[in-house]
Amino acid sequence: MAEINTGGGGGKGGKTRSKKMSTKVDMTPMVDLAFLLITFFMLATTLTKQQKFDFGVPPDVKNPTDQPELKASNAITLILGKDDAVYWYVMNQDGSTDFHETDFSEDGIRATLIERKKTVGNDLNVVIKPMKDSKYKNLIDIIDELAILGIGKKALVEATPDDVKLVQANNASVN
Amino acid sequence: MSQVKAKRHSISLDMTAMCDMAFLLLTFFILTAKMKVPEPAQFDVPSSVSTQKYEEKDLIRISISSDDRIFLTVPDQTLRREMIDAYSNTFKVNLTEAQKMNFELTETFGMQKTDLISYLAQSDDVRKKFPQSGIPADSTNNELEEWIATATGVRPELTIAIKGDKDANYSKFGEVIATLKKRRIYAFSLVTSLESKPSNL
Repeated sequence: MAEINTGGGGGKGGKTRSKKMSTKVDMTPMVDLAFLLITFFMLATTLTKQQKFDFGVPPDVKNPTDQPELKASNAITLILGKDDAVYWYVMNQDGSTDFHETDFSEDGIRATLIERKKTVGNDLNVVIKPMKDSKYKNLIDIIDELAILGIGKKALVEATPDDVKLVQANNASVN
Repeated sequence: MSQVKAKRHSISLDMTAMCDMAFLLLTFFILTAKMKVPEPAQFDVPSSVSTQKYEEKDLIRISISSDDRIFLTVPDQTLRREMIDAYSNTFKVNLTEAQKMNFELTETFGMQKTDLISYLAQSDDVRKKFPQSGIPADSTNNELEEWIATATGVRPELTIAIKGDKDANYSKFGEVIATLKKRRIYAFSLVTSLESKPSNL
């Protein structure tokens, strides 16, 4: 690369010019490559980041009398069924229930929950009862819906045979 | 007559500084990047509006695949070592040092005990293709509970994360919850992907 020219050679008139080689290297391809790799690593690290949310379940109580009292009129029960169906009911004062079927759309379960929240206020308790053939996604969707609406009181309970009967009765009448 | 030379401006820039910076950043990203270990199953997680970052630190993860198999992921290698030592002691499973080493290198597994023993005896290539039928967690044979008991026995401060596929059945999730309840674990995290909050509320 850089050669040292010990001048003086020959001495035949005229100047001997030391040939100057540029030490500059064209770095364009190197920079290109570096940025390409940066882009790759940036995307690979940040795009795979996942979120989490904390969730709790109540401990099983052996003795039914230990179960905290729940005012039935403050509670809404959501039953998650097959094929993304949601059923909900509210216990009336006289112990009867209105049973409804809805879905995960904005006008479906969200409208229902907003309405319940308006009538009951912040004491609203949501009881989530997923049935055996519901999907994991349904549960997450419901919990997410509650998080969006700021409803903190929720409980995850297994669906009882009574609930299953209610759903079956409803489905039979629909189909 | 002297020739008038048009002065030529070089259009090449000095890219040294840019190059330095680019490589600095590149080094940073390479060092901070965590290699993604191939998992035995793909998990398409449901989305939620939660913005809490999920980091695999001091936790073990229970994953449920779309075909309802349960996997256990232990991201920490030293914990895996402690776990397999404790597990073989508690449940009287005779494992050679080589098998324990293989367990140490297995981040995620989903199979019952008998399969796991033969799995750990295989070579690397066979292990990659080993059929994983999921860890049993039903009431008759709850091996998931044994693993969770082992893990929390070694590290009591561990947190538990559950990562379920969208299409996993709730009944499998119910089994996992029941198992955790048995171990008196009532709080855990659910892994989700980000979804934007609806703006019309």
